[in-house]
Amino acid sequence: MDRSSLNNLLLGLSRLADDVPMGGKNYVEIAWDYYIERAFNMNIKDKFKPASNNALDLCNAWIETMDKEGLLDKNNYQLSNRGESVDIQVDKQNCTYYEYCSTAKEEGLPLTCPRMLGFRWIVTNQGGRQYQLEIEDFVDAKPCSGTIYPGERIKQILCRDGDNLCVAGERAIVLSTHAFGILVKTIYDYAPHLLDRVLYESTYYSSLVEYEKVKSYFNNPRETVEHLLNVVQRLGNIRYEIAEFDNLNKRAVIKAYGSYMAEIFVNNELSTSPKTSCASGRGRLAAYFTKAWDEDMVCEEMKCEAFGDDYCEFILLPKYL
Amino acid sequence: MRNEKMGFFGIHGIDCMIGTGLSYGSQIMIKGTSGVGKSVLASQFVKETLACRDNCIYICCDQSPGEMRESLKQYGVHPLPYEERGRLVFVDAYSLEPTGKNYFSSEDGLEKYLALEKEVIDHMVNGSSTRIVVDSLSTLFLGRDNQEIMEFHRYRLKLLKRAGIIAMDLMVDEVMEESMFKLSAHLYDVIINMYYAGSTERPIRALHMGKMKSGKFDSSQLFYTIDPNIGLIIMQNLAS
Repeated sequence: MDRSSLNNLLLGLSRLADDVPMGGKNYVEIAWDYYIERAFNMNIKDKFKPASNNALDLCNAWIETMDKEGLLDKNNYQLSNRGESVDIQVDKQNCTYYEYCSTAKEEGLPLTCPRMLGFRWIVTNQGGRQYQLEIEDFVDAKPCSGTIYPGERIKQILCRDGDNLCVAGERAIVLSTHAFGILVKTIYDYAPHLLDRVLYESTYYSSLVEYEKVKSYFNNPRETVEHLLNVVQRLGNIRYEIAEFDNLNKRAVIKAYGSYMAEIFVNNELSTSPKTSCASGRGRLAAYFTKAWDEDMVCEEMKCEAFGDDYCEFILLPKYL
Repeated sequence: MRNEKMGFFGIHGIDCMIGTGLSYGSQIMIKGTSGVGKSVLASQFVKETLACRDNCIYICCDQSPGEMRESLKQYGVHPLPYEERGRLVFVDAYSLEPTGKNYFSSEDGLEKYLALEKEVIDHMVNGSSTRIVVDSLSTLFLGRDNQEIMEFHRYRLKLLKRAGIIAMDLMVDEVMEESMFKLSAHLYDVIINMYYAGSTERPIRALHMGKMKSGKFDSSQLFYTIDPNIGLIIMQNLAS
């Protein structure tokens, strides 16, 4: 396959990953892992002789073997170790995937470096310990840089598990907004006074757990919150945008677009007159920020798409204020 | 959803009683004995007001604005963002000493109250409807003669009606003479009576609508309980 066709194929993969619920960069990484595994077993396995199972030795053996097989040029790589991590630099001038990376970045598609992913795969699979890859932003004028480091993969991908669907390792079900709307409408019909609290608290408590599950993968609370909001978006529930994130005063403003709850409230007439409707969104954000700032936080919805506003607006603030 | 905006209480059983809702400019009297849950009902009314994107003015006569803020938090509304955006204003008619711009002393004349109320209304954010709650109006009347009270009543409620404001006035049974209630009653569009029913040994809270100007209302007695996080829950809702 010529270089251009290969790059187009990869761009197709990134575009698909962007469209798939819970897809994104992790989806691209999983696809690459399958590819690398097959390539390793078919062409490299018997010739792969690392000096030890140390991460740097495994990486060096990887590029030596690949170089001998004519699959890459080892002179384009620089490796150095930092504790258990390995820093990687790749000269992008002659890189086969240059067109893929530059176009994916330009188009805002989920992107990962196929070269560096090889290192993560070999260290994880030959070293017996999970490694993750963090890549610096793709900048045209500089060599590509990244680091592989010991860390668990976040189980956030929507996937099949036999007859079931799984999200984050737990069985998942997919409901249409019509079906979910009927569920909510039934609660409203039998216990209207409880609807708000049911929606708020069920999301609040499940969101506390979600935060706990992923916080160790991120460097700071903002990154963790951004990741979690991104997951909600990838599920197609609502797209959040952080408008203000004041660590010092523990205040935040979040805008949200395409709220499914606003849609459900309007379609099912779940109130006597139009009103702010995103109790579950408030619960989710209150939980994430309670964890992020280790403070009992509350969330007020100041604008809502159920009113015809362009977006829902949430304000987060400490309860004690 | 209806096209014309109507106001509701935010308490399902009561909202069912008032049918199509309250038009803006309606005046509501909530009458009841002390401790029966009038302020809790008012808190839920404020929550509903803010959720409907209306502005709210809360006149605190029986507790401080600080205590009222805590009460709102208890029922699931943090008042601060709404106060910061000028959508919720507290008037302190409770404290003995002035606490800020929106302060009314019980020693001042009722005409001064009217001037302050008008000033606060005029300063509310434009473009949104406004509701006002006085908790409780009967406290303002303590030590004043009946004629002064009636004149104040008539003038104030006319002003609020003209301004298209939904007004909720809380009245404590023990504070006002029954004859004054009767005289005031015709000035209001809606009257809700809250009381203890059942036996003295096992009292149960109940309410009924005593009047609705349109005449289209359900006057059944509703029993209710008070949940510390939700507020008034009409028991008929629990049974259905």
